[in-house]
Amino acid sequence: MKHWTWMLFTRSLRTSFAERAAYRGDFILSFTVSFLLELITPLVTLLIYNAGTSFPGWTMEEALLIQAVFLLARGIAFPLFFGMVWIVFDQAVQGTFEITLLKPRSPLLLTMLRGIDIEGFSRMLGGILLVAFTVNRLPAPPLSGWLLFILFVSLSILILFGFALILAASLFVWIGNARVIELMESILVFSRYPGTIFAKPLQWAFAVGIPLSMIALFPAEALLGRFSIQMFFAIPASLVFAGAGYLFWNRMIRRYAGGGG
Amino acid sequence: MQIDVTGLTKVYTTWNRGSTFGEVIKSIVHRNKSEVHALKGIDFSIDKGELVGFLGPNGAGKSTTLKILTGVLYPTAGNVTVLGVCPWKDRKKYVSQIGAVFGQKSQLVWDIPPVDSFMMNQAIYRIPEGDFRRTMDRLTDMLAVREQMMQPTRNLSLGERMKCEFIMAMLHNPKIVFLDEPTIGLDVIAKDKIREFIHEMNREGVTFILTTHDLDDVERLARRVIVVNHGAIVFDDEITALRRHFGAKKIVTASGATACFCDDAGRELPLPAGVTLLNRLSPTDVELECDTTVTDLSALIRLIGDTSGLRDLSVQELPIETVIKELYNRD
Repeated sequence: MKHWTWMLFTRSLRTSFAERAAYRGDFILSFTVSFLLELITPLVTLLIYNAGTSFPGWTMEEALLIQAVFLLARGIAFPLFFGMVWIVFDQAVQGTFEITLLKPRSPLLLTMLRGIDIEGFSRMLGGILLVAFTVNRLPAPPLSGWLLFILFVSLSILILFGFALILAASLFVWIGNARVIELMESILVFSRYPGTIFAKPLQWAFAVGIPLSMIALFPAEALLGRFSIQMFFAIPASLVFAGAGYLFWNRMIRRYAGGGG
Repeated sequence: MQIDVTGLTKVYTTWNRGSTFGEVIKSIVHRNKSEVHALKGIDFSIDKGELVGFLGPNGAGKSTTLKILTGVLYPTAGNVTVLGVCPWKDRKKYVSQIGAVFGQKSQLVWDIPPVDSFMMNQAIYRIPEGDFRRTMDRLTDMLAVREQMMQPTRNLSLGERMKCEFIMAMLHNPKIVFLDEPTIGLDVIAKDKIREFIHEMNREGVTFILTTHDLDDVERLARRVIVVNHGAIVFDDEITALRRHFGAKKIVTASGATACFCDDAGRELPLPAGVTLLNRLSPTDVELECDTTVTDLSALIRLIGDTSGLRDLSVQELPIETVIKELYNRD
């Protein structure tokens, strides 16, 4: 990475922090609430298992691991690049996106950096703690399991990046649609639970169609030493999904005409 | 030529629907498409160091032209070469050499001091530290905002904020700067300071393209004016030629010792050919428009002196607002 891009990244982080620090009380409260909300997300799983039912073929700790990985991946994706969805949302409504286009840098990079959400790092913290907690209660994974886990988490973040690109890009033409995040959250629900609760065709769809299983299920399975053929088809599918998101972003940006004129 | 535009055309597609409930429901499944011809093949060129006023009524096509010139918008047809490159094909290389100030769109981050936004621009434009400090110091001194740039943007007055917007746009030493209503909402002192700054930068060789509805800005800054209306250029010449565009007209305000061009009963008397009564201030005081190609100005003044006994007289150029209004009203 060239030092100018590194400088841009660090200054964007500083700007984001300075912006939030301008309203300290709100920042501290929001950070704490987001952190606590992340920690209670697996509550549903705990309730299911405490009620005597279970996900077929999965112990409570194993099911919790999927959700911990989901929170970790989302915890990395949200503060780093999901903010760009709201940046495009605001700028497309106000017709100010051309200011980004007037800068001699990739509009994607600038929008992503402008959208860095310091507060969102509370989600990352929550995700790390939950992964550490659940892994600690399971048999120690081998090194190969950890390596595969790192690869799959990277692909998971790539898929979430693809989602962020598709949502942000859709806002260039679907101006002012605040429901896009809800729409995505509804889709991501399918990635939080063991694949065994879905029918076989859906399991394949979530592996090679929209590779939702790569977001949390497959990285968790890598740590648990469970392997399936779908897992390996999901690797190229994840790359294709992120690539499609990038192409869609570029296509939509060409259609941006801004306000006025 | 620094900017060369030929046959620039932009056609937008818009969707129409009626306002009744039935039409709103119908629009969910079917919308009527219509085309808007925002630019109809315009041509112009601008040299290095020019300061051009780009005028037009709302919806005339000037914002579309500026967006294309800045590389933000793709045209439907036509060629544009600015600083030797095509703005929308070689965007990154091109925009590193231009700057822009929008009176109604801020580049500053609202909750942090402008100096932090300047530092973001340093990283974006890859400005070496020494050059950045030198340019920032010079610009902040010129615009007298050294203290203000350390305060959160939201605490600054509009004038102070606009000055910081100018610094943002000039930090990387652009060759061309696009100004879109840069003095909108400012008080006279702030306007003067900003105009002085633009003049100074222009003297140093920076080309400025100014879009505004404030004709005072145009008169005080621009040497050349391009007027766009209905997607076509309706005037492109020196600002002095703009005043002569509808004939060599002068505004004559005369005060007579007795009634001027009216009888004792207050009825208006016929005026010489080429002379129009603009405003009757009193029976003895009138404001006239004189087309000097039809009636000689000295003959008119003599006539007023002979018939009413001239007490006071002022002769002014036709206000630019009048000329612009006539241009805008033409089909």
